[in-house]
Amino acid sequence: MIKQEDFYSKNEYPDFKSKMSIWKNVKNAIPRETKKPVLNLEYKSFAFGFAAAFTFLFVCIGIYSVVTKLSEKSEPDYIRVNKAYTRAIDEFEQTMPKIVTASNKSFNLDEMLKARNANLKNIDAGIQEIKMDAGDLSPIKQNRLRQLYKMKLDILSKMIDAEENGL
Amino acid sequence: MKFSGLIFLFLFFPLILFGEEKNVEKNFKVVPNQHVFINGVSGIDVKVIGWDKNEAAIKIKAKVNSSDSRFETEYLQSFDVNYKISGNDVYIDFAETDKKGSWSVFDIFKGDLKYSFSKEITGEIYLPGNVLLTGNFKYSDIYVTGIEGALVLDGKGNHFTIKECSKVNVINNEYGNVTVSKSKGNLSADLKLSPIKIEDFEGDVKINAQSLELNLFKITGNLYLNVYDIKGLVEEISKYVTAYSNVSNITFKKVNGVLEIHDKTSELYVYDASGFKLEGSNTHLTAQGITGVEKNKVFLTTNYGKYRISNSSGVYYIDDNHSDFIMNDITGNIFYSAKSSSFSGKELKGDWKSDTKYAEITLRTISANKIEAIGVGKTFKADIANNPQKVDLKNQDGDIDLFVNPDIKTSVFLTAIDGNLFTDFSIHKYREGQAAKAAERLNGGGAVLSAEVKNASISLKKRGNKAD
Repeated sequence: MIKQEDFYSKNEYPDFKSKMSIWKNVKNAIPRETKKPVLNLEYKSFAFGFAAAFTFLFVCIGIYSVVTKLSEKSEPDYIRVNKAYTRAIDEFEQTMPKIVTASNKSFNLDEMLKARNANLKNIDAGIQEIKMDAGDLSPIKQNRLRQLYKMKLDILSKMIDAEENGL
Repeated sequence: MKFSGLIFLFLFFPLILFGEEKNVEKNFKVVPNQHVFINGVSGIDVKVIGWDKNEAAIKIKAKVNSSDSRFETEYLQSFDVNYKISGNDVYIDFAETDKKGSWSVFDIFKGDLKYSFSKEITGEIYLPGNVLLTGNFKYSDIYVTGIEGALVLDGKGNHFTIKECSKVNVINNEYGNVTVSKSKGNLSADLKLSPIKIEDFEGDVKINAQSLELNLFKITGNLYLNVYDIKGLVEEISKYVTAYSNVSNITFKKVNGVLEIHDKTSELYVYDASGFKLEGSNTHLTAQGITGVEKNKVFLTTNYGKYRISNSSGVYYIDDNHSDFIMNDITGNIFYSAKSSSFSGKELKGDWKSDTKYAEITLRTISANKIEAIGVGKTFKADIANNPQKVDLKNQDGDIDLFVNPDIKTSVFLTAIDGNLFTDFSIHKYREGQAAKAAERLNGGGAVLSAEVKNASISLKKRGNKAD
């Protein structure tokens, strides 16, 4: 086995200072490795992929809306009428908070509004009860639903009239 | 096409074509006066018809349409109308599955984006006319005719139509409507958001109702109403009408008995009622054609509100606070007790007696034997069209303005303490301490006209200058 002592005498070893100097030079001689970026984007591929994803999304939305519209068109009239009522009621209800909280109401108007609000709650309870059976499109149930929508619309309309007239 | 394919079509074509429908037909014996109970399922459109046979016949057709075709078949298999006879009771029960169909993504290819189910259950149930009938239904159209025994209908979301039934006793319903015509009974109806129409009913009717339309025509019995937030028309009621109303709009026409209303915050219209009692709070009343005589005197106990009565007759007792009264073309005596109110009368033919505080009274043309008034705080004005037997007026902190015929034969006594006297008659005026006084026999004298005020003035003028 080759031993270090067979070739070098003790004084031929580099001292600590020389060692430090040698390793420092070695270190400096090694070329530095540059840091790789975390996200190395291939911009062209990225742009194509992004465009494809958007196109796919829009196509899906388009197909969905076309199918939905076709499906809605094939719905019976009474379903479409009920949907129209729902939309109208939503619009009306958006104007209600102003009326309900209106100040300087007359006593009669106040009483009337209380009664109408109680009725609206009752009607909403009825609508929810019918709607709970979400898939049931039986004509009689839809007819009752329409009746409740009509009542609700009528009450909302009367509330607006009463408020305007100051009762 | 292969031969086996043809056999398949031949065998299953009827199922494909008629798989959405099922007919139920059953007949069974029913003894007269048995009590029949019908329990429906939701969404049925059924006529219950009384006939002259001692048997029941059920003829019902169920038709379904669903995005889940397997469920269509399952539903129709489960659907039935069963009957059971237990002693004197007969039970007719509609039956259907509790399950629901489902939707799968493959239904998109059939054009179904979501689960849907629709059913139409129609038909008739024939019963002996003389049975008692109790029905319980939900979201259904129920037509009942020709039932002579006691009829009770209960449920929610129903359209009940009852025609030519003899003992209509109870109807309870929410979210629907009720029509009763050409029937008899002692009806008690409890309704919520369910308009009711009754036409040609022989017997008493009692209705508890909230938020609906109420149309009642030709009821030969008594009518009792307890209503909240309704719009109603009540016409041709033969007997007594008692109504408790709140936040409603009701018109009463042709009430042959006494009309008694206890109201809060409603608009009431009364046309042609013999006898009228009103307890009103914030009520707006318009009345015409009231005849309140003998036992049917008119009593108005009111608190706030507006009350207009015209073209009416009778004896009127008015006890009021804080309201406005206008009474025109009234024949009959008026007794008016009021606080912080106003009364305006025109073309009044009858005696007047009032006891008021802070109530302004204006009588434009009154013809009376007696006019008596005691008041505080507001003006009393009267345009007297005849020569009354007695005029006795006292007012404090409020003027008295009188217009009388220039040729009136009366003995006038006027006293204004801390006030003044104004007249265009030739009357001897004098002062006694703080009081300005006048006494005179006009046109030779006659019945006494006496007026006395404190901290106010008296004006006695010749007619022609109308009271304001």
